Amino acid sequence: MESTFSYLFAGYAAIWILFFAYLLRLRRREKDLRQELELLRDQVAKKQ
Amino acid sequence: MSARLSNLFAALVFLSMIAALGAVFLYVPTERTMGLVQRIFYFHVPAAISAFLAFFIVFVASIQYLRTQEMKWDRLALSAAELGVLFGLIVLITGPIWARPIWGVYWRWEPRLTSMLILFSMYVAYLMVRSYGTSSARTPRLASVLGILAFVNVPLVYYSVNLWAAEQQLHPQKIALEPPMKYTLYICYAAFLLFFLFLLQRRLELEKTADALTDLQQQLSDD
Amino acid sequence: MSFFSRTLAILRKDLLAEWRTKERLSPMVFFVLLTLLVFNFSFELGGAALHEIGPGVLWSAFVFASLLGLNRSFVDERENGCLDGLLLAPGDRSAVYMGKMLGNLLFLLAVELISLPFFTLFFNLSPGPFLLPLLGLFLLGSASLASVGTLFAAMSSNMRLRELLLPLLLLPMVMPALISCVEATALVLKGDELARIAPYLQILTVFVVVFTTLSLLLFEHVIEE
Repeated sequence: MESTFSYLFAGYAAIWILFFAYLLRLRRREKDLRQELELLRDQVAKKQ
Repeated sequence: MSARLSNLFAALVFLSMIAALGAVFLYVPTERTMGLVQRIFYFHVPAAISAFLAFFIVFVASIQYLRTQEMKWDRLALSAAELGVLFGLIVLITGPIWARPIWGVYWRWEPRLTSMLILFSMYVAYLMVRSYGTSSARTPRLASVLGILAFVNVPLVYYSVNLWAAEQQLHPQKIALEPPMKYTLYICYAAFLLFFLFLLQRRLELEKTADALTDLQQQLSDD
Repeated sequence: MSFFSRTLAILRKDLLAEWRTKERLSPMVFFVLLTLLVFNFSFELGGAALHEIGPGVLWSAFVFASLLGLNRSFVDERENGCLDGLLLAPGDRSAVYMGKMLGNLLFLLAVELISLPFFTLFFNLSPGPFLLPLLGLFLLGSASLASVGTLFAAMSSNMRLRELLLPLLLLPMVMPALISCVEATALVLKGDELARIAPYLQILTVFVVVFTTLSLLLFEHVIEE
């Protein structure tokens, strides 16, 4: 049987790409939230 | 979750994934009839189980939210729904990749894939309700209703698609599992469960922070 | 007012409004006919192909038409402020659901009954032997569509892109019912294996009962301001 290795590779590549894409998305949103939190802290500090 | 504990957990998740990959690529023998590509099975099936777990969590969290109106349940429902869609997508992508060399085509209206496609659509609709909701007060309630209906529909979807698929061509999907294959599958189940919990926890933290931020912003604007 | 009388009141209101204007029924029927036309040119719908594709075409047309009708069932109320009035009235909110659902069901049935002669005409069928089971399927199928459809119409009426959202919500949810209707209709039209539609009837009945009950219970969460 001819090698089905390329399909195997494609399958696992797809899985890991999806996982990493989701993790990156999480990280980016965490970063954005932290930035907003900083902005908010500055605003609060200015008010006082 | 304290930083130390979460780092420990992340390390555990990482190690379990390494173990799973090791089992899949180094330990388990190649299957006779399907060859190398059959190894996708060891991630394809746990992904499906994870998706189901996620959908179940959405169901329970939705009920709890409607009962208690506590935001923590809504956050859980949203996070679990995202994970359900993610793992469902993995199933729907690895399925055709596996199928192509075996059946000759990328897609066959085969009961499991077809059912997963329908389920996937329902939860994508759930996520869309979240995005297109207009009020932050009502959207969680609407989404919860959807979360309940969608899960109740799961057995109906499977039953009807299986009935229908019997009319079409049916490719048997029962693989006889010898011990090394069973153990590999169990290791992958464990790795996926841990990874699922890891992602869920991070997503929950994110949502909790976002909610706290919104509350703070509102307080500030009220002053 | 009891649940029953409130339901009937809402049903009566919708039916009367429709009787006067016919603004939902006509477009729905016309839409079904146009869909049948489109499908006829897309596939060759004569002879043997009919039994394979016919039921799917028919029910697809009904589902798409139902999306038109369902959209309207709450949008008008919202735009005219009637919905608040309905909700403020004392008593069970779920009667609003029941009344609307029955209205949608009747409209759908009407559309299907009107379309049936055209379907048999275009595709050279003789309805005689399978008329009764076919009508039964129409009833169950329409009830399935109306049960979740009414709930989703209420849900989406208050959201952005409601015309886009309703099909995205309804179509996946209604799949078990749609599959069952199509398969059962195919069996009925073939005429010889009527006993085999039993499991599909089971699914449809369960679908209608379960989703109507759930919608009744959950409606108040959907309609609250």
